[in-house]
Parts: sequence; C-alpha cells; structure tokens
Amino acid sequence: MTDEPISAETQRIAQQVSSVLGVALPPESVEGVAANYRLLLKHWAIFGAPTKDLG
Amino acid sequence: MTVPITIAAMAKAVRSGTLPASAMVQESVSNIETRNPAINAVTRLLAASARDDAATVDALVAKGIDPGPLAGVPFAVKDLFAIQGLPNTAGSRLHHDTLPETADAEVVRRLKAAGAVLVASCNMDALAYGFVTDNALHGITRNPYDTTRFAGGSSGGSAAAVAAGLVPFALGSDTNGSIRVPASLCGLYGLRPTYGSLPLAGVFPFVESLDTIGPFTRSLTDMEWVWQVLTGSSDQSNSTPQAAILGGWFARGLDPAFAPHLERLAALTGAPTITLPDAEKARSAAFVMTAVEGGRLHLSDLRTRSSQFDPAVRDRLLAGAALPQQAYREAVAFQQQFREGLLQLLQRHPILVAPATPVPAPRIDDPNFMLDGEKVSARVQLGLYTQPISFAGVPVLSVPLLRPGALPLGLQLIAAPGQEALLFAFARHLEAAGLIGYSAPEVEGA
Repeated sequence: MTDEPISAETQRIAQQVSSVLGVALPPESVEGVAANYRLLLKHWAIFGAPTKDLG
Repeated sequence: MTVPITIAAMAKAVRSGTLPASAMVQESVSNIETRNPAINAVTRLLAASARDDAATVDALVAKGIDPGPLAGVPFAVKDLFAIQGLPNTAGSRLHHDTLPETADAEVVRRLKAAGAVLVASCNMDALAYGFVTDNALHGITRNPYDTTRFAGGSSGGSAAAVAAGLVPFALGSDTNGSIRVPASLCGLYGLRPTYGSLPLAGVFPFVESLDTIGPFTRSLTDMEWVWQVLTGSSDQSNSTPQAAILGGWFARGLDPAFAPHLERLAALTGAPTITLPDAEKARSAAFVMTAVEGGRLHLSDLRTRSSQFDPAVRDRLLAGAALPQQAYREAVAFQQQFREGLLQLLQRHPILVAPATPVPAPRIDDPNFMLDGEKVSARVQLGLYTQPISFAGVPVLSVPLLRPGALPLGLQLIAAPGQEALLFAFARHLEAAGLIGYSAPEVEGA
C-alpha cells in the first residue's frame, strides 16, 4: 500500500470483485486485488477474447 | 561415520548391516539442527518419529529381513503432503490447527514401505501459490548458495534442504514450475513427472488440472533410484535422442550466463534452435487457469476467513475467483490445442531443452528481476519458462548446469508423456560431457 489515493478505476474493480464473490475485501487488499485482476485480464487477452464484465 | 554419496549406496550399506539406519538418520537430524537456522528450509523436524522408524529398519536388518531399496535413507516433504498424526497445513495459517491426518500421503507411504525415513517437512509459498517461498507464517527460505537470495518456490524448503545436505532427497509439488524453479535456483535435479503418473492422494490440492508431485535430488543416479521406487518402474533407455533447443519465448529476458552452456549443448548434441508455437499464449492460459481454479478451491475460506490468508496469495486468489467463467473455458480449450502442437513437435525432436528460469536466484531485499527493460515480481514471474510446458502435461526434468562457484542455473529437459526414462538417458549424456551436475554450496554450520 502507498499513501497515494486509490484511483476510481481501482475502486470500481475492487467493488465489482467484492460484489461478484460476496466477499467484503479487506481495505489492504483493494489495490492488490485490482492489480491482480487487471493482470489476469491482460493474460486472458493474450490467448482469448476477454469480456469486460466480471463474474 | 562416513555416509555414502549416493542414495543407492546408503541403502546398500544399511541393508548389509555395515551402516545403521539410526546413525544415518541421526546425522540428518543433527544437520537440520545445525544448518537449518541459516536457510529456514524445515518447518517441522520429526526427530522422535524418525529415530523410531530408523530403529525399526535396523531391527529388520538384524532379523535378516530386507527393509527395501531406500533402507534407512532420510527424506523430507513439502508442507502439503499428509503425514499421519500431523495437520496438513499447505503452509497456511488457515490449516495450521486442523485435525491431524489419519494416514500418510500415498507417495510417502510408498517411500516408507521401501525403507526410507521421513525426518522433516519443509517450507513453501502458502497454498503453493508463488515462486519464491516467502511464507507469512514461517518466513522466507534462503538459498544455500547465497542466503541473501531466494531459494525459489513454491517447493523452496524441500529444494534448499536437499541442496544444503540436510536430506539426500525431498518431495515437492509442481503445478506451474514449483519443482523446476527451486531446482534451478538451488542447483538440483528436480522432476515434474507426466501429469497423472504419481498419485495425489493425501496431497493438498492447488490446481487439479495441473498439479503434479516429484522429487529433488543432488544427482541423476539418485533421481532415477527414487523414481523407480515411487513408480515401481524399472524402464531404462540407453538411446541418445535427437534434441532441439527452444528459442523464441524461452530466450525472452534470458540471462546471458546461459549462452555458453546452450552453445556447448548445441555443439555436443547437434540440437538446432527451434520455436515452440504459442508458448506465450500457453503461459497466459496457464496463468489464468491457475488463478481461477485456485480461487474457486478456496472461495469458501476467502468468504469466511480471509484474514487468515497470506496477504499476497489472498489477493491473487480473490482476483482469480472473480474472473468470468468464459476465461476458464477458453483456457481449457486452448490447452488441448497447445498440447497437440507440442506433442507433434516432440515426434520430430524427442527431447526439447529450455532454460528453467530466466535468471539466477533474485535477492530477497529486491524481490524482482528485469524483463524487457522492466522490473517484474519474482514471486509471480519466475515461472515464465516453466508454465507453458507444464500446461501440456508432459514430463520435465530440471537439471543443474555445472557452474562451480557461480549461482546455480537450470535447464528443463522435456519429453512426451511417459518418457521419463528418455529424459534420464539424455541427462546422462549431458552429465558425462560435463555440462550438468551438482556443485555443493558452502553452508553455514556445515
């Protein structure tokens, strides 16, 4: 975690992950989950055809 | 007491009554007590049960009963193999206080039935998700060749224990490279066998579509010996098959230290450099498949006990569990296509050779390495070259390049399913030519 404010995009991804899974994300996980989700989308795009929707 | 060098010679000495198993096991226990603090490879030292088991082996020998081909040989397992009487933790706080196992994992049972003595269980990345062995509960396993560096992961504790001479062999698991990466960084032989060839009963799962288990050893002879015990197979091959070196994806970000070794290998074997089509896609599909299956496996705990997860692992699992089902379906479909392509390539070149890791062991105080001019996370990216291969389910033997005095680097030798004997034959050829082999580290406390 850094002292930088969390971007709206990061908040949006984290909220959607939380909603899809029914999990309350720990605050310290918000950036990590969003970063990992973006990385997975990047990998998906390499071999497949990603959709923008979660879950 | 002088302990013989090879596992076969150790067992022979015990079987003949010239070396008590109790003495050999005690030496392993003592080595763990003195050397482990510097590397943090072992999480549970099983001294009492190991002494009992060694005494049982000695009693059999005294009665004229053969204890088996691993008589009295000490070994260790990664913290995700069931050990009767202990919880199977998978290196996670989540499972630290679960009920003790009622039976050993099937492969542990097989090794014990052959006379081997379990002396320790070893550190890992929590839930096997990572390539460095940095564990929130047990700490970081340090590389015996340089304790300021990682041992690799996720089976890093098992690898470091063997490399440092604590045990002659150890078991790990390999889903995406968790045997081959630490074998490369710790200068060992590590076998990821054909998918499905060894039973996973009693092994904590991670990604069932990719999970395998296998041994780490310091020599090829030891590897073949342990493999024969694990499988009951005595298949041998004396052929020197046509090999090819994988370039393309497997040259991306490659440390220049590999170059002279690969040139020597090409000169020795006549191996051309070829490209494995779609390796990058395979790596990405394996990455996605792992995150999705792993995330779903742990979803119930993520919902109810997320604070007990290792934070770095939890975030990856949460992201994977939330990925749309379509991503997983596409990964599975691509897996079949990629596997067919790789098998066709193996018909033309029965052995494929690729680096096991792009770089030697990264520093613990800078847990990254450079890839395409950018710093990338060692925990996430050290499996760059291993993930495409395991995605196809083929057997891979990681072998240590002979580089005395330098940080270890490993190669992957790849064959068609069921062709482990061919891998051993090719490795013998490289070993005889002085290209590969184990060079002992200088270990604190040794």
